[in-house]
Amino acid sequence: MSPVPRQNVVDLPARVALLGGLRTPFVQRSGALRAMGPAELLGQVLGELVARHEIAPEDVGVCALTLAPLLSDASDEEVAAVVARAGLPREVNAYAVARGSLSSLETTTLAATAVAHRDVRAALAGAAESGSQRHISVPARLSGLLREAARAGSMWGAARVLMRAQRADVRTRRAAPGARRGVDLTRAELDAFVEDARRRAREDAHEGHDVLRVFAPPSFVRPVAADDVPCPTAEADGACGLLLTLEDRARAEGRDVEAIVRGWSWTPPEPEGGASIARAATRALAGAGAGLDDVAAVEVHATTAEEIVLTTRVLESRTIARRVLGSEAPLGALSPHRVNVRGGSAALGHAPAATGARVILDAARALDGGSRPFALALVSGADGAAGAMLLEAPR
Amino acid sequence: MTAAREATEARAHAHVAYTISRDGVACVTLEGDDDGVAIVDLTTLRALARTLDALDADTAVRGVVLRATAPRGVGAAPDACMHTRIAGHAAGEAAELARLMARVGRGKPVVACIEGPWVSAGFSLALACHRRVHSTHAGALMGFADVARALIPAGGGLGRLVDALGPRVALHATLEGKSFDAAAALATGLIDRASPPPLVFDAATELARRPAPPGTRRPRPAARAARFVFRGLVGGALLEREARGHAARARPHIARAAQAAVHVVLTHVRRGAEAAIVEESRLLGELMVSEAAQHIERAAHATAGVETHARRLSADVASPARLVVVGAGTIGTGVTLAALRAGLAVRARDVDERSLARLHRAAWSSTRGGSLGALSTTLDATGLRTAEILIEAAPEVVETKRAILAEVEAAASPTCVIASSTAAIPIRDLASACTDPSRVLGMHFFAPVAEHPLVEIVRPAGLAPSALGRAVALGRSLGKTVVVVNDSPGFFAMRVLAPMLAEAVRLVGEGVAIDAVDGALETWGFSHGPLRVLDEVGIDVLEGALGLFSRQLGDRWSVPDELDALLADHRLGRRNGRGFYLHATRTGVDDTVYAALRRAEPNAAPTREEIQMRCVLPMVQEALRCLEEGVVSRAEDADVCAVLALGFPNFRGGPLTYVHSLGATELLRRCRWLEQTRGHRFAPAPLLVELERSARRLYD
Repeated sequence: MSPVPRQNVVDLPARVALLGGLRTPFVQRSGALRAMGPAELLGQVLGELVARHEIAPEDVGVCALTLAPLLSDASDEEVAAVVARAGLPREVNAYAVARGSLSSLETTTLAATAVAHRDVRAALAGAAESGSQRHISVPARLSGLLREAARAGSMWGAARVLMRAQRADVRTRRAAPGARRGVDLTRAELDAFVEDARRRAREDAHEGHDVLRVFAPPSFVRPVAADDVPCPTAEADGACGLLLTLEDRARAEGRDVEAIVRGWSWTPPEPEGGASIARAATRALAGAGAGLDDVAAVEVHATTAEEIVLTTRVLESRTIARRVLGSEAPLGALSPHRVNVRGGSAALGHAPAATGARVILDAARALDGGSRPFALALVSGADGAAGAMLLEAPR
Repeated sequence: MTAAREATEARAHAHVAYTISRDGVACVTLEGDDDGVAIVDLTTLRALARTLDALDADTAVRGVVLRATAPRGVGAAPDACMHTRIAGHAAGEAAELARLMARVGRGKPVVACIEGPWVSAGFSLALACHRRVHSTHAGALMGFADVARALIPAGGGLGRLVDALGPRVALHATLEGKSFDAAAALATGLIDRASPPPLVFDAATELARRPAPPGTRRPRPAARAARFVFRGLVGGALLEREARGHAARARPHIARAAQAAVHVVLTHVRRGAEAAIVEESRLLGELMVSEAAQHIERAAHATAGVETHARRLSADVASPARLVVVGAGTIGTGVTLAALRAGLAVRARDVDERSLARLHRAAWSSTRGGSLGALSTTLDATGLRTAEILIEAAPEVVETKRAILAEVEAAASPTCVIASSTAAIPIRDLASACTDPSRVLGMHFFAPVAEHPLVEIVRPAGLAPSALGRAVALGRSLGKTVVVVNDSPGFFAMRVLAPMLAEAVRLVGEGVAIDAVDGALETWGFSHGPLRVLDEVGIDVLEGALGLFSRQLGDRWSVPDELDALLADHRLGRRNGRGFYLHATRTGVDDTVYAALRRAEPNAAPTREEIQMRCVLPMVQEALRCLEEGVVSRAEDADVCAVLALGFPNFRGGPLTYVHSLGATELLRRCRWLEQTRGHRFAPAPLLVELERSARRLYD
């Protein structure tokens, strides 16, 4: 885990512009991208991103990245391989962090901070997930439990953690979380939600625009493209990268700006499902003095479709929000057509480390220059922690 | 280790420097010359012997590491580092060289630290050391390249290789010029250890602390068994028969060298190392004064001269780091792969996604699944602005190339150098499509790009010097020898090659068998016959070039009717699998060509010499005309370009050297005879007439 402050960071000393982003398709592990390691995937994406935006590689001062399933201490060789593959100078300040599904949200905040403090002319953030190289996979819940048990400090403490988890599991089976919050979700409703997401992805006018066509070994028969079947489970291969610079600089150089990074918020795991992500969202909005009515689109990724539905209802329902979030009340209504405009993870696939950057990119793309100037990118991690980033339409 | 080195004492002899670390290991460094090559000759070896004498007398020294820090030591071509250059041509000097080599293996343990190519005399020197540590870097290798230079290994190296590998394996490796990389050298027991590049020096230092192995190195069991077998009557006779058979198959210009190598090996096996060294010195003395060896040496010197010239042209220019290649065909792919290998970032553009897929596949297989390097591809004109140099490698159609150049000039930065890879179209005709023609030049690569060591850079009138410098720097960073020529239809290479290919086609049209034409020229020394080359170049490309020449260079040029007949039969060469040879499933001559040329079967039988002269003389004449017209500014440029790009036999020095070795008078006589019997296309070049009259020489 990298030592990143978890409080709101909305007072950036300068306006940071998101110039654009690019990703590979998020496809089933052991599929078309199986022979490409995370370094190759991410290097290709970042190289193409820099080339498309015609940024001189020497101007990229920071490259914050995640190479999953490699850990945060991913070897320097792997990081150097990304830098070399992307055609960046060896001197670039490149480093790796790892926070599961929150990884690329975190790398984006690191890159934005570096840019905002005028340390660098441009910064890259990105992550690659290579499910094909994840030879052992542990369910997220078990992984979290084991981590908690390991921190317990004694055998007895660890046993208590596991017993408590077992009791909680029994309780959960007795009553679904939605029912406890007064949100009734049937299987049919969830299926309809997923089907609707896929329909939106199919109808998306931007489809393929920011998805790199990857020539993947060993077949090379045709490039792996956006129309390849995306993988919504956490077992996908894929990478996503974002390019940031100062808004002033982008304007001076005559560049198009996708969005302005207004701030972000992190929240720790909370016992109630959907609570942490809703809390992160409200905090990020509050930091900018905005409400949900000002938000053109919300891109949200959560572990399950159910949690996404819960999140939106928590955001827009004053009653539920008051109970779950306490005093932090919802800031407005949110109609379904403003949530996951491009389909979200259910339709586009979920490559855990890279999903955060994908969510930010899609949120930025959803800014339409209309009366609502903001977009929210929300990501919930497997351990229940959540992060939110508020983007603003460029003036 | 670093701290220890700081506390060392340093003394220097000519070409040899050394330091002694605190733990008693001396590091002796062979320094490179101006070309970045550490040369092993008598001067170096004498200095090395003096150094080793001093180190032997120094009680603080336990062992010696011998390394070469020549700039081109790692990754340079095998013949560019540590090759034999022995002053004088006397056998006595060869004997002294052997004696000095033997000195290296006496006294305190000497470990050769092989971090780049150690070939020929360098390999002999490595073998003379007590131990060898080899880098696993791809550029590090060892081998004898002497026989290909019409020489034999010097300094008793061949005998040492026989001791290490057995006579049969050693002889094959020597005659075929086989080089050993780390894996092969370790497997055969030639080296003691293989280490990755950062660790190789430390490994050598560690070995140098150990005591010297007693006596000669004990060979592997297989090599010991081979020596035992081949010393016997029957084994010896079998070895001799096989070795002489192998030597007899060698190409004519190196036959003497191959026979000499066989003789040295047989002498070593039968009469021992000392007798072999005596024979080696005698034979080496004879070979060094042979015409073939001298011409090869001259060609090597000319190449070094051309490289020095290129280094001067690019002296003030940083080597470009970002390259755009437009067109992912044969040349585009070859350039892209070469650039990726050289560590450049490449953005390749093509209008066909399948071509880009093929490019990715080629990049992937060339790295054997390793990192592709900084390769990105695009179907549109995005991402060209950060490129420092752009190479257009589109099909040879003027309109296509002009349209591409105009488009990419708009998309590229104003300082980007734009190069066309055209083989024949004058650059001025292409540059006029751009708003700033002063940054447009030609970079003519030869297919396959990975194998051809040369790039022809075409300088049109009005080219900015910085643009030329950047293109030359790119060519050098790709590991190519750069020849700069002036703008003209066909430049130098295509203009010199085309008349030879056209004449070969005419010969087939007259009824000469395809293999007779190619066989005659291969006997003359060309690595491939002209018709095989034509299949690679493309029959349509030759037709286009000849058409261009006949329009722009006068009525000496014409397109043979046979070419039109071949094109009407949809024969383009290897590109569409239909040419003079079979390319798809089988090899050999495609007999259906004769039918396409409306001939039942070949029925003409000119002498081999006539075929050779009819094909070679137009090439030599055209080289003279290029020199006279200023297409090439120096004779050595013409020779180097012909040898490295067109396969002109290096033991003949090049077309302009050949003018002198045959004699201008004799050449003129043959041209006049061919002009009378075969037509105006053989009319003597004005420069040839002048050379015959004035007895002037093109080379000093």
